[in-house]
Amino acid sequence: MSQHDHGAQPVILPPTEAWGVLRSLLNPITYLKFVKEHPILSIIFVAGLVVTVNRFLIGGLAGTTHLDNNNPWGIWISFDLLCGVALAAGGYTTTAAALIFNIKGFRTAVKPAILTAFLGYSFVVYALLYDVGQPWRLPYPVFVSPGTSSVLFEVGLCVMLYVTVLAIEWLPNFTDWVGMKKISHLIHKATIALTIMGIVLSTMHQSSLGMLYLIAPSKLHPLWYSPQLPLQFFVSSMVAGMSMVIFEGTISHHYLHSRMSPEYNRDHDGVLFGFAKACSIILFGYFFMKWVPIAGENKWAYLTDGKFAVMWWVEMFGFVALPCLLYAVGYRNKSTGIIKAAAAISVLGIVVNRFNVSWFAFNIQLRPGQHYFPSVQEVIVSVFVVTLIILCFRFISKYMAIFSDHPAYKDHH
Amino acid sequence: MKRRNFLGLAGAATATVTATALTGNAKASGHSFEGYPNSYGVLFDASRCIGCRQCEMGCNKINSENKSEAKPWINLPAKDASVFATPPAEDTVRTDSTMFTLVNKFEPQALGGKSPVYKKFQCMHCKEPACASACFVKAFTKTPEGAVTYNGSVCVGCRYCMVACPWSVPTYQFDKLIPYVKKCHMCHPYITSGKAQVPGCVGACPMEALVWGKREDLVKQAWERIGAVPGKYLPHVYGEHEMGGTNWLYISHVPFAQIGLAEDLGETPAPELTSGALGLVPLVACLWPVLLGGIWQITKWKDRKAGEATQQAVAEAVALERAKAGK
Amino acid sequence: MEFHVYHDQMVFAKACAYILMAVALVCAVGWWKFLTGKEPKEKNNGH
Repeated sequence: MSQHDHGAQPVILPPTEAWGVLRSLLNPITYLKFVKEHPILSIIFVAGLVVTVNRFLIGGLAGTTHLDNNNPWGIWISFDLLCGVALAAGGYTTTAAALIFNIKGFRTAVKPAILTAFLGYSFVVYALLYDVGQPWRLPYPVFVSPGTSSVLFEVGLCVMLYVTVLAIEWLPNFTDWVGMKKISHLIHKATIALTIMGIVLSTMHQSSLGMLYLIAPSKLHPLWYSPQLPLQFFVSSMVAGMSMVIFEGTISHHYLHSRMSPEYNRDHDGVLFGFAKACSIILFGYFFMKWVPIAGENKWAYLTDGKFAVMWWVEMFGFVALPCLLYAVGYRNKSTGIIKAAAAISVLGIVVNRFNVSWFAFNIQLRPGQHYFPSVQEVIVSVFVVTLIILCFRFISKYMAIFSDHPAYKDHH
Repeated sequence: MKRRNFLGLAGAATATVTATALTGNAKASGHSFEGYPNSYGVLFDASRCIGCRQCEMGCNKINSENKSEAKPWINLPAKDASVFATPPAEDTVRTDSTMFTLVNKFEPQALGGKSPVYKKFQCMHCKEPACASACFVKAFTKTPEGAVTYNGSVCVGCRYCMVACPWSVPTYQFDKLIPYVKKCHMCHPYITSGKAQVPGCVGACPMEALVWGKREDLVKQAWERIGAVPGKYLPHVYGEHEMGGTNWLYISHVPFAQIGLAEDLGETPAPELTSGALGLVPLVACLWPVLLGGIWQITKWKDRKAGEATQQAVAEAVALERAKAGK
Repeated sequence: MEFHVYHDQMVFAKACAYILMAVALVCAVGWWKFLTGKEPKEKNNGH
């Protein structure tokens, strides 16, 4: 697919009509229309609501999940928290490329990346409301009784601050749409400060998610446990973010093409090639990084020992080396198709890695009958959360200037 | 793109070096942490336990009398002796949120796989508890008296303590809509209030398999018992050094792994496992803005210079054209 | 300050670290405004 410059400027409703759209969200007819047009999504929605009622008012965690005293953390942590945060890393990587490193052609990728990150992190917090025993107490670590020795405290504080930063970075999309220009202007003045804060906070919590598992050396398989786990999580989060930006861009291109400006379309392939090169380099480094603790801690024997060895080799070659190669080939041959495939495999690879660390290679001291497997309701909640993210993304992109510049800034670029 | 990745990886390399340096320096000040002096503990002797489960009854009894328990605990035998019958030796039933302790039966290989050995499972009351280190609301406290206690009034229910505990001790009330963590507290509230002299389990044991005392004294006593009958006990006091030392100690006449006590835990206290890595956080907070701010300034400056060069080139070209037109 | 338990020292030390980070952030804003106070303002929106 060659670079294309087509597309008219997408229609952005003027503020008065924007408020009309928001008002329609209060009208039940809007939702009835939605159910008619999207039956499958509606079923997921209803299933999610039913499980939500069960989780909070009827069965509690026991009636909703397969968690138990041996397996206190399940897929709401492995997937919704660990994968959710890693895959929302596109916010800090894209803003770094466009605003700090000032790379031309990345400007138009910033707003979609921030939207993805903002929704991603917001729904991580939302999913935590389901997992945590007393979710109304979630402000406690910061505002009531800080347990500063805890890695989880650092994760919580960082995520709280970063969601705030993302909300502020995203807000101009909304304030532009509804005509609150002064707020947009104020936030734009703080762009670099917010961006730097975002990168700092992201570095800290992406690595801290790996740090969580340092406290349980007897429970995590030696092929994954190492003091360098936080660093591995941070490095792989960069790949996760960039791959997710490519992945989300590919899907958006298919369903939201009418919302994309000529400038966005013109930059699109350049972003793909830039990220492909970056991901290939980072994955290359990451591949060798994962060998360092094997060599340094003399763990060679584990490489040929049973199913965990197989899992490790599959992760390393199928989901690190392979996308590294595909990104390189795609970049060399300027093939967006190969790059998109590499992105999809990378996204899957992040999920595989986080699942290995938190689930498949965790609690290895348990016997086969004691191992955890998610319940149907747990899966419903995770699917529900992803569906909500997609619906919000679609709504926001459909109306606000995400893949285009807002008309108010016509003269500035 | 290469620049960013180089800097990113250089930063990562610096971080690794710093981390390695920091991880070894958890107590760099030279201060060593001996724990509270005169803290109490319990010594369990596996060779004395007959599996009568009176300790479980004693624990239930003393906690049922506690008015702050929302529902009195069920009295034994809610599980009868058949709990010992079906599972294979290494299969251990664990505590759940309705009990603080339980006794398991093992049939260790060391005795030919036919003779039973019983082991009581409860909180180890570590000198440096992993649960306390992991808890992001400081719900756990290592008391000077030795017990590790839980304060439910701040607990959010994240269950990281359950992940962190090397012995997977804390249980959670998954079935409640307002759930809490449940864990043995060595009868700390009852002893400090004077209601009891020793924990409920210790007081109930008819075989003196459980002995209460100051931790230092118990360690001494344990080694004395080991030395008194050479060859009977394993020459090891479990809990003396494991995870930095625990206040609940075990001596056994069969290998500890065969009675469900993990022997691969190491001696590093839990807080030290994360202290070094957490120390990197302020470093990132300080250094990243410097690096990123610097890069931003440099790219801005380069852009400005490039812009000026372009402007200069354009101005010269225009002047040249004008001069040509003028001629 | 005498700590008997490493955990207690860690809670105190990390609390100090977090507070220091917040102080550094606030000071950094002020210092940046001072450093760039006399630079000419940019003509366009600057972003």
